[in-house]
Amino acid sequence: MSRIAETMYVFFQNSKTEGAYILLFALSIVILYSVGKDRFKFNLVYPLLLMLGVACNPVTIWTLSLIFPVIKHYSMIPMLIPIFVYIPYAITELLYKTKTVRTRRIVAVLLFIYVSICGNFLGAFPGNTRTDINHYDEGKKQIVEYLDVNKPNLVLADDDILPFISSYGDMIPLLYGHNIMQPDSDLGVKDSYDEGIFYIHDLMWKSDVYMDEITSVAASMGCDIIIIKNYEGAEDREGTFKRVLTTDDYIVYRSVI
Amino acid sequence: MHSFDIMDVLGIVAVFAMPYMSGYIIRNIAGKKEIGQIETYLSGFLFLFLMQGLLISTSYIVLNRSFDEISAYVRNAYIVIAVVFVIVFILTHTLFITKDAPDRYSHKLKKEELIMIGITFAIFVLLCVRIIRIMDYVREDHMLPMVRIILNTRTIDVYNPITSTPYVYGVLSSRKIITLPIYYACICDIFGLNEIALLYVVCTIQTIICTYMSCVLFIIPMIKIRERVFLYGIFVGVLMLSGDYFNKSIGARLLWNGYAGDTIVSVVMIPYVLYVILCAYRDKKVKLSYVLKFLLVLISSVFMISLAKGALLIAITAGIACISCIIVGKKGQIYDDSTLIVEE
Repeated sequence: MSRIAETMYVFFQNSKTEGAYILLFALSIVILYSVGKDRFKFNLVYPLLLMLGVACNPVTIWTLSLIFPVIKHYSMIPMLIPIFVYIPYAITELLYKTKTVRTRRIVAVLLFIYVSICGNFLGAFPGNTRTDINHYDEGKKQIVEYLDVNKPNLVLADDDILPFISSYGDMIPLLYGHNIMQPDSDLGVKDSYDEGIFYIHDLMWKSDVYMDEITSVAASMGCDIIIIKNYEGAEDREGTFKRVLTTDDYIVYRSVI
Repeated sequence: MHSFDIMDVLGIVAVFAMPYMSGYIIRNIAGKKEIGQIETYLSGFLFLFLMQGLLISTSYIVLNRSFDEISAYVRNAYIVIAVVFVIVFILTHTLFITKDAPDRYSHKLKKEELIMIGITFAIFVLLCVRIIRIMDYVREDHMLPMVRIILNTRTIDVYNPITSTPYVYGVLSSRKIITLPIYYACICDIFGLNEIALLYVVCTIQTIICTYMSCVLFIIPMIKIRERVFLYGIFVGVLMLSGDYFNKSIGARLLWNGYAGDTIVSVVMIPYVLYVILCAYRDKKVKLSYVLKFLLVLISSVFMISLAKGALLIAITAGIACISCIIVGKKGQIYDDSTLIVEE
């Protein structure tokens, strides 16, 4: 029984994001089509279906993206209007078809709860968002504060902590930033990462295996701080680097030269 | 968490008030009596993005001014807006040079409507709480690092904001057209606001308010009855409150990246463009005011997300609206006039 409940809960969580709102939108179209006057059909439903048929059509998006590469993201346009306009509109029209004020209020409350559950009410369900890994928790704060106090010359850090250092640190120079993983968002700069940077970045993915190589390459590139993910069996000293700070998730090494 | 002092509070009030001041000036100088308060705020909000784009791109790209000088220009522009607003406000209410917009709320608010306004406000407060609760979450984009490095170094495009190291080759000129990071840095510099508070809280809340206004403005000519518009607004708020806005599926990350150019374009400008096009179709003629509103959105979008993406998004939206109007054709009318009816 608990396994069934757990499966249902996981299914519910997974359907809550895009899926649930899409269902709400489909339901709102049915409501508008049936409660209404003809004006809804012509003036609202058909143009909307046309808009979705044109804008969400994979052929349209693919065709435009050949000319304008940035257009692949424009599919967000159709998501807003159906959800923020049509769902509340359908709810309003449905509520004012009810016969008494008391019934209207009860139905309004039920719809309020229903729509809220279809979303992620008050952020109460953290599982479906990516916010957990984005949280600036105590461990990350410790590391950023250490870097702010000690003013390193150049820092080599694990990918997960890079955005925190650049967002919350005070002008902490990094060997590479978190844009190394996002080739499309390179800020249009002429500066680019060379092969050596990509090499050490690849090594950092397996820092528990290649720590010797990492410290050697980092030292040759002028890094005096290395931040890696914490793993069992991590040494206090690696090459010319000594462990100076340990948190639950990360280890900070500092050059002793 | 950043602690707020009186200057922060004044800065936040100024950031929220500035769009209304600019919109009020535009409305009264243009002599447009029919523009309501919602559209006044929205047009002022969009105008500020246009102003910053023109001002900053001219002073930085053409005149090669420093950040301190650009910040001074933005501050002076804000002072001019505030002074002109006061003058126009006094003239409007004393000398009756221009008539004010028709008051949609001249009928006394009914008990049901007051309850709905209370619920909407409660939802707004919960939204603000949710936004403040996620202040300590880093965003994947580069806006905050860019703003911080501009403020720390008092330079633009000298240091790579992601690595905090000096550029070796510099920045491609095509990126310089995007002025939002410089604009936000100027606001922090002028009002002394913390960057995280400005971007993650103030700008996001302002975007949410403008999204609500944009959606309500779009629907008023369809619903027309005031009480139902309030109810509609409640469920817009519920959708904003309950949605998962951390994935790029709904509302373009409304709560997560409310300061970003593409979010503002998609959640505020797109509905406003649809509203303008449908109003033009209703009136059966393309007035100069509609053309100017469309151009306002089009040009400001260019400064917010780039020439190709901004102009294209707006143009596609306008195209869809026009096609919809053509299809509706003589059989129906999407919009009635925008006068709200109060049911007794």
